Amino acid sequence: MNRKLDIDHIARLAKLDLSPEERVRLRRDLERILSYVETLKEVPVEGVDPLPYPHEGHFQRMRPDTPRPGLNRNDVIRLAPDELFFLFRTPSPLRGLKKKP
Amino acid sequence: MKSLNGYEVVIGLEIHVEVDTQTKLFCSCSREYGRDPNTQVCPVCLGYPGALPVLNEEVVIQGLKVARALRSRINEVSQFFRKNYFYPDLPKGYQITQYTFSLAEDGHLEYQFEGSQRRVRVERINIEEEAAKSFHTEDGYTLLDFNRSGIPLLEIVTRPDLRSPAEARTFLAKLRQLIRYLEVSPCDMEKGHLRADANLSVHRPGEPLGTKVEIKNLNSFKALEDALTYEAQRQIQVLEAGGKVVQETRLFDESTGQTVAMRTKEEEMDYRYFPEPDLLPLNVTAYLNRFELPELPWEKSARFVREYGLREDVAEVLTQERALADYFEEMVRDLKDIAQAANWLVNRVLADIKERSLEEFPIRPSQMAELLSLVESGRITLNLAKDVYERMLQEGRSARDIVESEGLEVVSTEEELQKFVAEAVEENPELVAKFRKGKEGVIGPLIGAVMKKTRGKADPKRVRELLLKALRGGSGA
Repeated sequence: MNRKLDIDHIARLAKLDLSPEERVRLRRDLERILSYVETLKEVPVEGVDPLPYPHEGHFQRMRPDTPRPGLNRNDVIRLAPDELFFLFRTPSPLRGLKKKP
Repeated sequence: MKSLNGYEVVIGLEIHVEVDTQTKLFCSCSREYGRDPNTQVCPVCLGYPGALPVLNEEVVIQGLKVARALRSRINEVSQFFRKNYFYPDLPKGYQITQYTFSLAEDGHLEYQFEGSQRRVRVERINIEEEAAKSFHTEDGYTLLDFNRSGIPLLEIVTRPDLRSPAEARTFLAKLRQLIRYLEVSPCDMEKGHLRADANLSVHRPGEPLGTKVEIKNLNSFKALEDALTYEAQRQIQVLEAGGKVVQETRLFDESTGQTVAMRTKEEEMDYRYFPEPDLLPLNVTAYLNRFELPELPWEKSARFVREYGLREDVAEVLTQERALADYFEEMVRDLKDIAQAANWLVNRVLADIKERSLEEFPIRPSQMAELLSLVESGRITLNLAKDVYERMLQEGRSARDIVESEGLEVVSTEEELQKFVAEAVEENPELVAKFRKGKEGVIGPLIGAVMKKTRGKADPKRVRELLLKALRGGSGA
């Protein structure tokens, strides 16, 4: 397997700010997960076509273009960790987050 | 465009079109524009765990229309993929899109550009979902409206067949025209219905293609052309200074007119594309006969030339918009002089229509036809028709009503005209003397004098004839 697991790159993609301790722990976890997945390579698959879906010959169902009411906005916003004027508020991915007082 | 210093510019576009449906791509939420934030949302478009997508068949039909109009090969079976990345506007952590096995591949669009016939190949057409609308605040937050999350998009990817920023603009305009004809989307760029990203590289003809740079955020025709013009010059300068163009993504800043490098963290492999396990393969066979293509812009334009004998450029203008072409055809149904009617529409009326839009334009085709038939029958002059038209526009009255109630009809009796001509000759002895000495230019003011007496209701050509007869024919009328 690829031993050069770039934990910093993965953290950047996931927009996670990891402490050195977390980095060590996550690296260990990820390596264990990946080596578990590696065991799949032991299965002989020569001559077997890739099968992305288990239901061969079945296709997706579609629906007509008819609107239906969705969720109540107050209920939706109540689940948001933070909001402003009924908009979800998150730390901006563009710049360093200024902590909310 | 400034000097290219012998370089050739190579451009490909990736265009996103919001499909004009009632509901979103994978859920039954309304996708109406301009509603209060987060009022058109459900577990699917909010990305709640366990919520499952169900494809809107109307998007498939609209996508097939575009595919066929672009002469693409439709894949009867295609597939959805997950494109994984973290961003606040993407609550699931992935976008459902198509990757390999697109809805359609290998199409093309042909058009005229700078006097030559061009063909741009369309590599693929994908169905995918829109992200939420985000607003970045100055204090470092992002505000999100999920009404836009999950709106259906068609992604149209061209091959690098465009050779200048101006051509890219023309291509986008042609594509927009086509999509509007198909009624797949209104393509209002201010509302974000149509957006483009571009890839641009420069190289010397005969040499291998240069390194391409992706430019994002091209949301108007002007932005597209300006950004590509700037970027081509930038790359040429880098190469001329002995440097190398770096493969990167740049963002166009409309306020400065420059492209700036974007700090992107993802490379293609970081998106970890894989088949969307929540959606079985898409089979469109049953939908291939569920739509008909309308007459396409280039077909309509050719027919206008053939059927009405219009000049090509006039036909082109009249078929810019389907609604305008329909207006024209309804207007000329009972008219004899179709070329005159076409010129009238292009030169007199089009600017007024564009100012408000055809739906809000108050004069119906039959009313316009009535005005032009008054010209055709000689009851009013073309000049007077212009005034009548202005009053129709302002007062909402019919042409006949304005002409009849105000006695604007051409003075038709020869007798009356003869009388005015004789009067004008008598009242302007100096002009008459000059004319007889060979200064024939003074015929202009004499025509003016007669027209004034008729209050503009005579045909100036006829007045001129009568005046010449009177002046050359001896002492008087």
